[in-house]
Amino acid sequence: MNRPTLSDALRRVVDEVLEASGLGFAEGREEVEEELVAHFEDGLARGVPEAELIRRFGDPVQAGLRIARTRPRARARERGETGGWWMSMEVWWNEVTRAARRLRRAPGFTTIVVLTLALGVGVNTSIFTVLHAVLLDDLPYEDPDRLVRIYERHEDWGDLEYLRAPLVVELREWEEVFDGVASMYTYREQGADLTDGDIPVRVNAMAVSAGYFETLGRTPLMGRTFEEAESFGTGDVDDTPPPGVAMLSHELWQGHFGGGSDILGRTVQLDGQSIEVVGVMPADFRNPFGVQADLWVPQNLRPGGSNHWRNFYLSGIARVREGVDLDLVDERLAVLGTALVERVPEAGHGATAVRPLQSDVVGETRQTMLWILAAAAALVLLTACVNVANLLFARGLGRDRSLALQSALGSGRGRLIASILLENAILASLGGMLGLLFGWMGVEVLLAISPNALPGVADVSFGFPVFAFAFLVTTGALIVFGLTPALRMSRTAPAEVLRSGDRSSTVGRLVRRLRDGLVVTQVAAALVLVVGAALLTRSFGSLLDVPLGIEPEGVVTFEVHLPGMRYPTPDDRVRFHDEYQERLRSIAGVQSVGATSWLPVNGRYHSWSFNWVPNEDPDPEGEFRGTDVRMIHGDYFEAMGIRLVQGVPPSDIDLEAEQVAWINEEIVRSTMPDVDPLTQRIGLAGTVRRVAGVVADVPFSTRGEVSPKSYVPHVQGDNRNWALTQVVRADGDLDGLLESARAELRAMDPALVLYRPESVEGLLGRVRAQDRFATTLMAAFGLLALTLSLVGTYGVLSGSVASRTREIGIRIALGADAGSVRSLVLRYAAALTIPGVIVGLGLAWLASGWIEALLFEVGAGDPWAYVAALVAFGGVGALAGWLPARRATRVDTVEVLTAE
Amino acid sequence: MTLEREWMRGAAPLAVLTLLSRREMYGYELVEALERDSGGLLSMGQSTVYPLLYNLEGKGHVKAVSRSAPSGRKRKYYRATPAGLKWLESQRSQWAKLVAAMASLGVQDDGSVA
Repeated sequence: MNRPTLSDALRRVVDEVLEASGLGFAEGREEVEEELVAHFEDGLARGVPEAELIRRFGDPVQAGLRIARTRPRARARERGETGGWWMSMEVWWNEVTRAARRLRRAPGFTTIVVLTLALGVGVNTSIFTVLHAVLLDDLPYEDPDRLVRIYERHEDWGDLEYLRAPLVVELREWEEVFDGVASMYTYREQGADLTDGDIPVRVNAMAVSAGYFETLGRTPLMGRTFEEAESFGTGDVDDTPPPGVAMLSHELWQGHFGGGSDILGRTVQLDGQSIEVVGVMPADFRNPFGVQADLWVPQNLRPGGSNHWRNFYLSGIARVREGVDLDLVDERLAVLGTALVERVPEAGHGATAVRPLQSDVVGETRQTMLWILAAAAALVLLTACVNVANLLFARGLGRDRSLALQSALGSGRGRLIASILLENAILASLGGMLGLLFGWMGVEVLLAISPNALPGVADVSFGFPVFAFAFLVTTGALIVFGLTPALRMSRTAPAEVLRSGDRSSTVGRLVRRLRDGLVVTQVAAALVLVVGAALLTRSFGSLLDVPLGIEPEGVVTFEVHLPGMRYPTPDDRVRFHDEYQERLRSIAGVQSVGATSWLPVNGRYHSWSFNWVPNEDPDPEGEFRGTDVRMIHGDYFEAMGIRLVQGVPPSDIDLEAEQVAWINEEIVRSTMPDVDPLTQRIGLAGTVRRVAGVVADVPFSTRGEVSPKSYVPHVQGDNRNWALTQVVRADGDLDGLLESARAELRAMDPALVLYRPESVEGLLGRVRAQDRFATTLMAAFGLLALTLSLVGTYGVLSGSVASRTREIGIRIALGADAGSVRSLVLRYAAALTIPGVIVGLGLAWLASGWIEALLFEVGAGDPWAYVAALVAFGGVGALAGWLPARRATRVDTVEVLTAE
Repeated sequence: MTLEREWMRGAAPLAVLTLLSRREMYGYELVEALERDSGGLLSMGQSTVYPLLYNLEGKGHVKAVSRSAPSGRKRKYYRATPAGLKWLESQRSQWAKLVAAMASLGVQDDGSVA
């Protein structure tokens, strides 16, 4: 349609009518417009002055509202429709378009409500999706409730230990308790070079006993699992030839072998040894813990070698017999253990402990962390709902007049409620859709920032039920709070609202109290989150301050594994390490090069024992004292930045002349405080070693836990076949350094792989992942809640100032100065925030016991955390009060008092 | 002189339909006619004419047709429908009864009481 041209003043009248009518296209908005324009054109054509036309026309808003009631019916009649479902569909559609238009006219309100909803829904969807996957979903095995992890329990101090191989063999006989028992080698990752062609690839190979897959209740996709004889049987482990079989993961089969069905029976080289592929596991199979293996090989548990009663190195899993509960299992295990020791005295003790596999996999701290984060997310949802409720109240109050007008003009209560519901439904849908997007992105972000913070077995996929739950909660809040204005209106005489120019008269005391209460709730919930975030941040700060006894800057580490077939003798391997380290030292910028069997701050490993007698040779039959043993090569202490406290570094000693070891300060402190350690000898794995030096303690965890530790030169080890991690300290670009290290390796042996390169700082980041994960999320939640409560408090205060404009104007007219007006508003701000803060502090105090499990060197009652939260909320109160207070002082007295 | 709101509410549809029963008219024409033919008594705020027309249209008492006016402008012409005429008839007879009843109470044409 060509839009006729009218003067601005007349055009404005037409627009006002259309605006007030809220007509949509379907209701013939354009026809009404055309008719009104024609009306004015006709008037002008007859020579009526413009001002007179406007005067005669009357109130455009009244006209618009009347048209709104009459027009759709006329329109339907025009189309020859007299009712029926189509008619009601059209009425609904009209209502929807009108609601959408109303929202478009309030972009600030709409944006904030939709964003708040989306954040509440998104945050909860993502957190609960992860929580669901990790804590609530069953492990992906048959009848997972019957699966347990078995530990040995140290009889003296009750610590849980790995299993000894002979015990695994014994456990298999305890059929009154277990339907199946299996072991896995998870003590450390087993990398291996897989060669199928020319270029080797590095794979994770996990040794598991026969019966492993059966115990978990999973069958291979094709082929077979391991046979009894491949793990168990009579004879010595060293005398039985390796079974030479392997099972592949679905991923390796697809990725490396192209997924062909001819894979079964194929022979590949694993660390230079011929291995036949006998089976492939399904795509969804994962180890319950340990690495996610690329392939599995059978673990030989025959006696001999490492399989004796003094070597704790296997992880055990078992399937409890149907109908046997865990208490009974404990009871029977105690009896069977005692019987074992009587029958086999060299077992020493037979105390075992079982833990449900699910909680073992997740771990207690992680479980607590996830529940705390879930509770925090729920609090975010609460503050979001409260915020939305408050915004809706504010909007409801603002709409009182238009609702009253509609009501006075005969719109039924039902229709009013329907129109408000539609508006809220639109908000909920927009918020929900955006929330879905946020939730999906949130899951991705959580997975991205949580390496090692979540167990690998958990299959985190987007949780639609969770989304539905969060969506329903927010939508419910939206409907309940959104309807209040409509319901209130239906109980208030419209005339009363219309007569009164001052909106405050319609603000029911109850509603005002409800709104205040909502703000108090919001502030309290947000304060709990902020205290939690402050506690975790302080705790993480303390973690970063823990002295680690190493200098991580400028140090890279990587592994090089030597296949036994090509480096068969200890001398071959030592030669390799010597030459390779020499080559590494020649790279520009390299300061020092060493190697170790296990990196610091990376958990315990190789817990062994030593004998010691003060100032004498150790007595092999004497008391065993615990120590973690590290094999080292080259200038390890220097490369890692471990301080030598006493004695000399390995480079100053002729390692071929005598057997030596370095011990840490913890051994000196706990075992030999009164002697000169440099004059002592210790017995370590049957070898007497002179203490050549004492080095500073290096914790095995990020929390600074220290264990007794001895360092033994790799060249003096029995078979010198340790998987060593190279440690290189250098100036400048570490990536460039790694490239050079790779080139040197290729020059020496092109078939070797530089495996898992990582800076020590990267390692520290990795081991701190869980703490950082919890801290980051809690801080984000705290910030979010703080912002939401700022918006909520501000909304209530500015609404209050707006509704009290007249009162404030009178006060100013009566002589109140700006200061006292300002303090009037600020007092209200304080009245809103202070009760919230008090309630919040109480709740935070109550909840703090729970979060204590996650805290490090910070008490749950840490005053600084509470002070920080108080300051933050003081800021919120001041900020939320400041703008409305300023507005209040600028109320124009004359305008206010003459307005009515 | 103008009518009180309640009288206007009852009389306006009757007046509009009476005019439209004689010939079809477009909006401004109707507004003018009301003012002129009722001696200004029924000159309601013009803005109320259109909702009134839509209301009558919704009830099926009038029908609207868009056509070009003699001036060439496009106009929407309203005319009374048979149903509208029937309704007008019943309203008129009620009106007549009311006037008669008032007369029998002694209310005379000029408003004085006999």
